[in-house]
Amino acid sequence: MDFDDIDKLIKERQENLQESRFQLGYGIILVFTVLLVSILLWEDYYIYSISLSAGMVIGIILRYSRLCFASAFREPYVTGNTSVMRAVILGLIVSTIGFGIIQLRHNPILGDYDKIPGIVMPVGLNVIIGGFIFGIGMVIAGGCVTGLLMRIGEGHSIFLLVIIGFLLGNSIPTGNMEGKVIYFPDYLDLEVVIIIQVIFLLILYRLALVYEKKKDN
Amino acid sequence: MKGLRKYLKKPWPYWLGGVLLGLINVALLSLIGMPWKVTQGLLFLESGISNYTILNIGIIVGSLVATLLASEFKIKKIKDRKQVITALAGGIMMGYGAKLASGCNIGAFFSAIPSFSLHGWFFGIFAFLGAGLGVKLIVRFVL
Repeated sequence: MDFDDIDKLIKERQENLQESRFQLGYGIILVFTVLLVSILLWEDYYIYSISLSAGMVIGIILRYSRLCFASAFREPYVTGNTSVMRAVILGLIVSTIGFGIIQLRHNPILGDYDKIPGIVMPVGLNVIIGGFIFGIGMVIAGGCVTGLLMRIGEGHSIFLLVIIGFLLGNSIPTGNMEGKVIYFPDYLDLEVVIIIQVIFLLILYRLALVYEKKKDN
Repeated sequence: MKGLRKYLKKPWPYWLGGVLLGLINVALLSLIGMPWKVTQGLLFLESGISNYTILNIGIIVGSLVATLLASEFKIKKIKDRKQVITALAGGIMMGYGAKLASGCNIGAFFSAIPSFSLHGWFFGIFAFLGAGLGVKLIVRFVL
């Protein structure tokens, strides 16, 4: 390596550093722009304001933690690693407690499932077949729906195609397969349901850990 | 400044991501009375722009922010025809599955299980089984 090469290397490194300084600057500007827009929307469009800033926070969390639901469901099969799946289970434990407290304060009218804070919907063949096809799709596409939004933000153009596919698939008509709503608090006290579900999720967490150790050996 | 830059490049552990996503979902439900959903916001061509469309835009922007803060943004082009086919096929299956189940891995799973609705558990179990088949298909036909 002669001096010319070294000079070139130094120059290249400085350019890289400058580029990364630019990116950091743009990142900071973008955060403040989104926060400013959220503040401007706050009074007249409260729901939009919260959605925008919550979306940004979710995007930052997804990208920094590399948390992807597709790999949560795929890795146990491929490598036996369950760390992403266990992270999802932890998220479910936290939200079970949080949603539970909100529902406890809500005092729901029995049978009026639309008014319950959360998503309460019928279970039937539609969910079974839909879930199964969705599971195949997210492994083949290399990411779930949240993952693809995150990858688009990273600059992966291929995931724009996944969105187009998603919209195409979503326009295929489905037959009418009615199911029945099964909302656990209809059968047991909500407090008891919360405790049982948290315990059940903890057991699942433990099982995932045992499975991982077994696969490792 | 140098320490900050290094810190901004560092990934977070998975468990932290999971816990934070659970917390933000609770925050959404208590602030606007609606939990996190993704699919509904993607269908803005049919049903118009909703707050979930804004939330999805927020996710893309947030991911871009995090990528920029770590100075890792780079536009990555489509590699080959195989990638195009798997992207489209996977997307179509997710789209159809999400329509059948009225939700994706967020609306019909991550927000449904904490709502104490059995359909969330069914979606999770069958998506996990489907993922197993997906792995087999990929190994057989793509790799």
